[in-house]
Amino acid sequence: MATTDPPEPSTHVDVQVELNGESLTRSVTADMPLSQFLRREEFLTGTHRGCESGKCGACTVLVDGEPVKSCNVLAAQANGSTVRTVEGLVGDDGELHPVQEAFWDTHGMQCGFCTPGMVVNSVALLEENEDPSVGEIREQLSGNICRCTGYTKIIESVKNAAAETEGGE
Amino acid sequence: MPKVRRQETSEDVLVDINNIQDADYIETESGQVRIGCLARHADVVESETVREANPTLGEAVATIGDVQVRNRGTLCGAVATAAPAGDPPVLAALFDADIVATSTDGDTVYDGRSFYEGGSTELEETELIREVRFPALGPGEGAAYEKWKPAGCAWPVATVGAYLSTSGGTVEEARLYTGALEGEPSEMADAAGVIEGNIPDEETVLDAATRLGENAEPMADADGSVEFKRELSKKLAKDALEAAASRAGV
Amino acid sequence: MSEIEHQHEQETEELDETTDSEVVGESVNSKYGRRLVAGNGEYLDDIRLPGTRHAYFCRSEVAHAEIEVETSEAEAMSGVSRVWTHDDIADLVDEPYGYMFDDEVVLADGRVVFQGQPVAVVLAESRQRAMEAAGRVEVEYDELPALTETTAALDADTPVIHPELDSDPDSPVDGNVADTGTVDVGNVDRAFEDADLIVEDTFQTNKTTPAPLEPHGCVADYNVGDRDLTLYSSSQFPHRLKQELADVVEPLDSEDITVKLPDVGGGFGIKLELFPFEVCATLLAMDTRRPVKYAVDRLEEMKAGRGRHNETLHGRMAFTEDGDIVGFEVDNEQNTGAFASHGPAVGYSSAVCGHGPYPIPNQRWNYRMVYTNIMPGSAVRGFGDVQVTFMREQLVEMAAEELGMDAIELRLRNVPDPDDLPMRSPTGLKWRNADMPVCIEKVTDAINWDTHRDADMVDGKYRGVGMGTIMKRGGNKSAAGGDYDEAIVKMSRRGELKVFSAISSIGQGTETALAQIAAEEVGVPVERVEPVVGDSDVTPEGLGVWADRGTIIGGSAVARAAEDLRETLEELAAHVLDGGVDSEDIVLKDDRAYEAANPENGMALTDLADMAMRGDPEELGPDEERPPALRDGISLVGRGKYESQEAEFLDEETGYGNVSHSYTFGALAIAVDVDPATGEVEVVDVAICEDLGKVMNPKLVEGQAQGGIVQGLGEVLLEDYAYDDDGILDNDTLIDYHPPTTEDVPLITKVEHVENPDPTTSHGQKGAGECPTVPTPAAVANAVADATGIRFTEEPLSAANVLPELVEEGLREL
Repeated sequence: MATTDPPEPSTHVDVQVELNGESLTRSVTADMPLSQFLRREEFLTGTHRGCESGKCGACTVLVDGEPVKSCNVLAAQANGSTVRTVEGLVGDDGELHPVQEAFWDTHGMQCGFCTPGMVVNSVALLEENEDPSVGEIREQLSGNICRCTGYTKIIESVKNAAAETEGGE
Repeated sequence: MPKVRRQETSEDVLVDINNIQDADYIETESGQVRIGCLARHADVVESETVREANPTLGEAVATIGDVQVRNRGTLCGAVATAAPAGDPPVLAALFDADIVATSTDGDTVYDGRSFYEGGSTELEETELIREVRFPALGPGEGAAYEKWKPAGCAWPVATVGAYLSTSGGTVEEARLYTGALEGEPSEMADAAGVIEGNIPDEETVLDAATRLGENAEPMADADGSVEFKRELSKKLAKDALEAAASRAGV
Repeated sequence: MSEIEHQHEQETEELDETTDSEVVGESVNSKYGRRLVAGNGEYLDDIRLPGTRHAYFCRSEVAHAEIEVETSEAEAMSGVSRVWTHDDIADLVDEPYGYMFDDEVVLADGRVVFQGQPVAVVLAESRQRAMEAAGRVEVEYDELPALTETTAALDADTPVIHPELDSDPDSPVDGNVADTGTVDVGNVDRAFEDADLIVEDTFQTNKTTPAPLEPHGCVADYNVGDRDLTLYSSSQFPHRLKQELADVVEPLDSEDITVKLPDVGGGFGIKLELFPFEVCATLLAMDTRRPVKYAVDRLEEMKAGRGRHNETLHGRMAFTEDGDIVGFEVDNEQNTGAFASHGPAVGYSSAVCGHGPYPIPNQRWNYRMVYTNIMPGSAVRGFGDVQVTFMREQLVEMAAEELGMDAIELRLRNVPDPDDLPMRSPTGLKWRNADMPVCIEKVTDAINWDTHRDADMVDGKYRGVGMGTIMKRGGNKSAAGGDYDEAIVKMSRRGELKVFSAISSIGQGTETALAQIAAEEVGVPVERVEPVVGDSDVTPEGLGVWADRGTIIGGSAVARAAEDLRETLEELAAHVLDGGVDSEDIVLKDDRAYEAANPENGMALTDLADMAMRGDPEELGPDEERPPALRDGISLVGRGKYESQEAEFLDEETGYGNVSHSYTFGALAIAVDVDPATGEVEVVDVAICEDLGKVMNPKLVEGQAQGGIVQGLGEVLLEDYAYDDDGILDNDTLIDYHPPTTEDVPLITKVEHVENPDPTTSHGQKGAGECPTVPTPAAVANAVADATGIRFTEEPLSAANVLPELVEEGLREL
């Protein structure tokens, strides 16, 4: 590895990020979790906080297309990345993303608190796998807890979204 | 991260290594799979290189946490953190991986087999694990990793890693490690000894598995009694040995 | 046929004629769903008022101790504006208080009684700073023995957890027994003397928490000029909460308080009482004149939220040799936790309903609520029925085995046939109608009961089937002092329709059903009907959402309100349409009002509404010449109120009475595999069938059934609060406490319902939301007993608990 002068520690970090299609430059505290950046700095409150342990997945967002738990990533670490939250899935014309539409139609949501994380993670799955099996959906969503639905309609929502997008092509 | 989130850390400075260039490699060299410190669990799982050289590695890493966790967590990081129920430490010990630590004074290579002895890792405070090297398995070699969790995405209650090196249908070298049961990778040499030098048939495997369970010293906790964990580990050991034997071609 | 039966038959007939449902009974999408999937929900922590300060508790780290608190270091921190302990607020609160018993204090008064109990409250500029300061509050603990089990708590030598109540002659508290009660009907002793078979065992259920994914939280906003407090809270009962808060906060009267519910991320019965963080946020807001937010986090919730009571149930059932259940005697010892909360209600209602769908003539229930130093139990989904059912349904299957009878046959023999109803159960419950035999038959068919029953091992695993039954209250008069709800529907001048109800939304979808009811009645497409719920100023009086009362009581109120408006619109349409149409011949549908026999003869509702609002004599004729309904101003506000005429208060001596408005019967059948190597219990198939009277929205109801069953599966297989001997919670995170994930539960597709409409509710609907959880643990335990021959009387049936038993019984196979 190349040896360079070590960077100076600082309490604030400049972050350049493309958030839901918009380029932003912000100065954030070094220890600010990405979830806090989204919720408190950018007022995108769709990403939720449910557990304090990095377990429940309600804070799932896409960083460079990959689903991650935004409570477990520092905002500073998103520098240079593309971040998509659940809000960013809604089209410019207010149209729901097909996955969002499927969750609503199939009733893969009840109280809605886990829903953003479920939707975002499902979008990631479908972008990689157009026709996932039930087992693959289970595995993808195993890090997203839901207490209301019992998961059946969530899995069906993803299946329906897959069928929709396939049929659309 | 949970501690950082709640500002419960005692350190003043957090060093983010995510900007280190070219550290996410997974490549083979001289009979080893070299995994760089920024290779994510997800990368290890998807790697063809890993699948060909040492498939147990990829299979085991695929069971870590969940998709989101695997997109961020790194194998080297997990090896260093040595979570009591973590999988990478068990894998590093099982395969006696070369753990390449670096500091301003240069590299030190630790042996996976001894890295975790004594309750903490050998890693110095000034060191960063920049690479871990796992052996590529050859003909006659087989390994497997079995794991039991009390629920989806929970920490495992018990894991067992098995490695067999065989020749002419007989086991020349056997290694058995448990994880999670005792809060660290634990070598089960006595149980491995049951199978070493023998043909890994059904009865021998059962004997070795039973011996492992009897020797294990799990801690009772909210997820099970000592008895439960012992019994569980027998099953995991049996499955791991059977799979390892099958892969070794015996 | 009795008079009651005759009347009900008539009402049922009328119902059949009028309910030609086109919206009610449809799988309409959730009214809130679009914004929730878009990430535009507004939950408590999303609320951001300018100038908000943040509160956080210093909470007790031990379960039972005398304490001394030192706050100077915390107070000195920059960004911290208040650090209060008990004495700082003593003059401002009316303590002790509590939902049923006055046993709670807002901040600990020299003594803590469970881990996580609030000791001091900090107010700071940020939540982070408040947390840090809370960590600097110094608490000295003089520890007392911590009691986690009821047996220990009842020991004569152990300390009394609420000594002030114990020594109060007016309080039922005696030692650590918060209260006791009995239900006594028939002659139990003789029934057991004469019985041909008695089955008996002791059952131990586990402590769990439903852990709604959104924790509790509130924002208190005090307007000094108006002297009005607005409390936003993640709660289930805005109107009651307002009263509870007023009762505790001295400087506020009920009229000074408005409670507004944001979107609520799940409740499951644990957001049904006043909490210390709500009181403190209120007082801090009043003192600082700034909005104060307290967003509780999961770590606080796990230790100091609320959960389901664990109970020790000793039950014995008496049978004739033919299989009639003639006697039932139960001793139920409820581990209440540190505070009574809803505990006594859970005790008495699960006793009076404990016989389930079997009208057992001779019963004696003794129940007691026992204080311990663990997190208090509350009104969790199922409200005591889950625990009792775990016992009852296992006794039933134990008896079947001893009698050499099929367990299904035994149940069919003992449940009422539809023709037996209406009847009063022996404990006084008014059962109007239900088809229980069909429910049982449908679920056994759906999962191929006999195939699994006959199978021993399938693919190397032990296979078994089991059943649980449902007879679940809808409403609970004693718990709230009444069972009523009021509703308003309001049509604007342009024909837009809004429905106002106190029935809150916690994800269960009742608000959507209310919109459907109003839409169908008034003829406005449901997509354009908006529910307005959960605001104590705006929504009319009601009791909130719990005990499955939402659609029954709240829905019926909305139906009456919508009917009120409909009648006005019909009168007006009749008045203005061509040809002198009778108002009875007017149809309101698809945004139009038209003559039934001649649909062309009609007009748009938007025009009708505009006409109504202007009330112009040149259009409608002078006031005196109009039909009476159109005089003195044509109002487009419909009002309706529904009070249960059925529910009764229970007799204090015998516990007898019709505790609720209605009852939902049903059954759940489950097939499981028990892995002889690991002890894991895996669900192979599950089916539920309930008599719901009228399924208002099949999609939403199915969702509730699936979710309820999975919560039950979680409780019986995965979840368990593990306290150590000092009352400290071991598994205090969502990692160590195991709610089911997608990997842990099957797809639940066999959800079927029968509809025998309840003649007393607007559309025949009966309660639905809590029911599916009730039979699930019992069914699983029965299935495991069938599979292995081992009867598990303790929950959970986790692998950790099952495997050692398999080993002991020689059933373990590697």
